[in-house]
This record gives sequence, C-alpha cells and structure tokens, in this order.
Amino acid sequence: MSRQRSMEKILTSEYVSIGELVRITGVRYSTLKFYTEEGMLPFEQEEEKLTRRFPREKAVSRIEEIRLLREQGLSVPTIKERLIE
Amino acid sequence: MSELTLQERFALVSLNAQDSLHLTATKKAALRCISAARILEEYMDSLWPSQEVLEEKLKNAVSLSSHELKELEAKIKNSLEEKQLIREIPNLLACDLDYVTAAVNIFEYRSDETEYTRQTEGMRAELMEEGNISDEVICLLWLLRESSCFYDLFSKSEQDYLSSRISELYLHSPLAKLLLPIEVHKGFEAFSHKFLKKKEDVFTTKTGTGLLFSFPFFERSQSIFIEADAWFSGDDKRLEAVIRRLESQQHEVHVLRAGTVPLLKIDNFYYECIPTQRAMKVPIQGVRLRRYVM
Repeated sequence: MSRQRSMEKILTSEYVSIGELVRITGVRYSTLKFYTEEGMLPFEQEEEKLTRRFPREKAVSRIEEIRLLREQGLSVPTIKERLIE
Repeated sequence: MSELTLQERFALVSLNAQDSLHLTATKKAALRCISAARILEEYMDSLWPSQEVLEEKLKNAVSLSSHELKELEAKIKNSLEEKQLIREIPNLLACDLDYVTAAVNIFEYRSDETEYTRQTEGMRAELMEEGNISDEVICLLWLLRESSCFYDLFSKSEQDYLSSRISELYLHSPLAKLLLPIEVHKGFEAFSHKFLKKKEDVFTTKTGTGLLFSFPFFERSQSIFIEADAWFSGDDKRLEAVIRRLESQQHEVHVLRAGTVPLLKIDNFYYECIPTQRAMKVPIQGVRLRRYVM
C-alpha cells in the first residue's frame, strides 16, 4: 500500500512527480505533459521506461515564467525559443 | 493550499455543478459515496479488513434515507464553505422567460476552480502516467466509479486507457484487489447519471445544438430564451437586455462577438444569442442562448 505524500513533504522535496507538480502549481496535467514533451520543463529520467521526476524549484519557476510570457500574449513556439536562449 | 480529507476531496469533485436545492438522483449517488469515503478514510490510516467486512461496512454507509442524505450534504457543504472551496450560484436556466415569470430559482454548486483543477488533474496525472498509484487515488477512482462521476471526468479515450491500467492495478496493488471488485451503487441512480450524460453529449454536438434550437424541451438547460425589452429592438438593445438579465442572476458574461448573432462566454461556456420569437398568446421577441460548439 502506498500513500500520497503530504503537501508539506512535497514542498520540501528536491524532486517531485508530474502529479505532485499539478498539485502544487494547479496547472492542468495535459499542459504540463505538453511542456515536458516540448522540452520546456526540466526533468530527469534514468531509463526510458522509468517515471519522470522534476526538480521542484526549477520546474515551478519555469512554469511561472511560461505563465507570465503567455499573459504577455506570446505564442508557445516563441516562448520555447526564448527559454532555449 | 490546505490538505483536504478524502471525503472533502471527493465531495469537491462530485458536488460541482449539482443542483443545490433538490435531491436529484445523481446527487443522491454522489452523497452516498461521500458517506462511503469516510469509511475508506478510517481504514487508510490503519489495517484494511477482509473484503467481506469492508463490503458490509461500505454497503451500510451508502444505505441512507433522504433525510440522512440531506444532513450529510449540509455537513459537507459547511465544511467546504468554511474553506471557501464551494459556493452556490444560480443555474443559467433560471434566466429563462418561463422561470423568471414563475419566480422559480435554481441554484447549483460551483467548486473553487483552482482546487477543482488541482484535485482532478492531480488524479488524472497519477492515473495516466506510468508508475505507482497511491491509495488515495485508488479510493477516489472507486468512489468516482460507484457514483458514476467517472464518466464525466474522463474522456472516452482516457477511459479506454484506464481500463487497461485498472487490470494492471488488480495485479500489482493489494488495495485495488480488495476494493475494486466491491459494488455498492444503486441501479437506478447509476442509470440516471449515465442517461443524462449521454443526453448532454448528444446535445452539445453541432447537430444536437441545431435540433435543440427547434425543440428546446429535449434539454432545457442548454437552450434558454430571454425576451427583449421591446418589439423590433436593434442588435445592441437586444444584447443589453440579455446581459442585464444574466448579470442580475450573478453570471459572469463576456461579449466575444457583437452583431446580429453575438457570441457570449457565460461562466466559462460559450453561447450564441440567436434572435427568435416565441409564439404564445402574443408573440414574444427575444433571443435563444444556444450552446456554441468550438
């Protein structure tokens, strides 16, 4: 049996799962999955079949950065270019 | 960001958009499962009993009279209201000419959007991604299935994927093996929910919305008639009357397109305002809000 980690524990962890990232940011799963697949969110995956884990602080600040750029009216491809720069 | 109990998490998801004044069949199914959530919560912090004992306890928990269901609803509503996670808003149908003139009020629950997204999407992420599924999500999955809310939350393709994921769960999770074979739902309530969902699906297609325009009685909540102030009023005056009516009933309205057939965003749904008239003893001119399918 495995329990979900409490919010307190998640907020002090170095790495979080995509589900936990959804819980702390309130951003939709499909959106985060899209950002991940587009290479806009940093993550680690030891082997192809293993679950992705996200460095919490970096991922949260990147999501916030993307949100601000979207609010300025920038398209996703432009944001992607900016993030790569 | 507060920690919610399993019962509160499930209530937040299952009560959203339910009629808050009447004990409908779909709300009864949700409330029965809210009651069952408390039993699951107790066992999550201790040892799980045998399947027979758990089944009996869950069946007892869902066998509530209408009076007991109402009491439970009031209790869970207060608990969520205290945390500012749920509120009651007027249903769009209450803006319809028939309902306004008859002074009929219809209210529905609206869960806090951010927390609702956090709960539903967090669960979706855990279920759709490879990896372990926590006990909380297995319990929520069971509650959603028994209350029939599962079909509202997951798309057809997600449901197909989840059926293979559930088979996997049976093999790898002792809790899933214990809980998922148990069924406590009432046949009629589950049937009502599935029937209403099917009906809604049909009437939110392009053909369905067209059909509904001619025959609104099929799904009144998706085809609302709002009368104009005067005969042959222009586009602007007609739109003003519609906005005034909607705002008087506390709906959030944004005009996305003006003109003869304006496009409005009302409480996160899109509607076209189509000028029309209703033939009663005297013809009444106005507009019909027709759900706009993007």
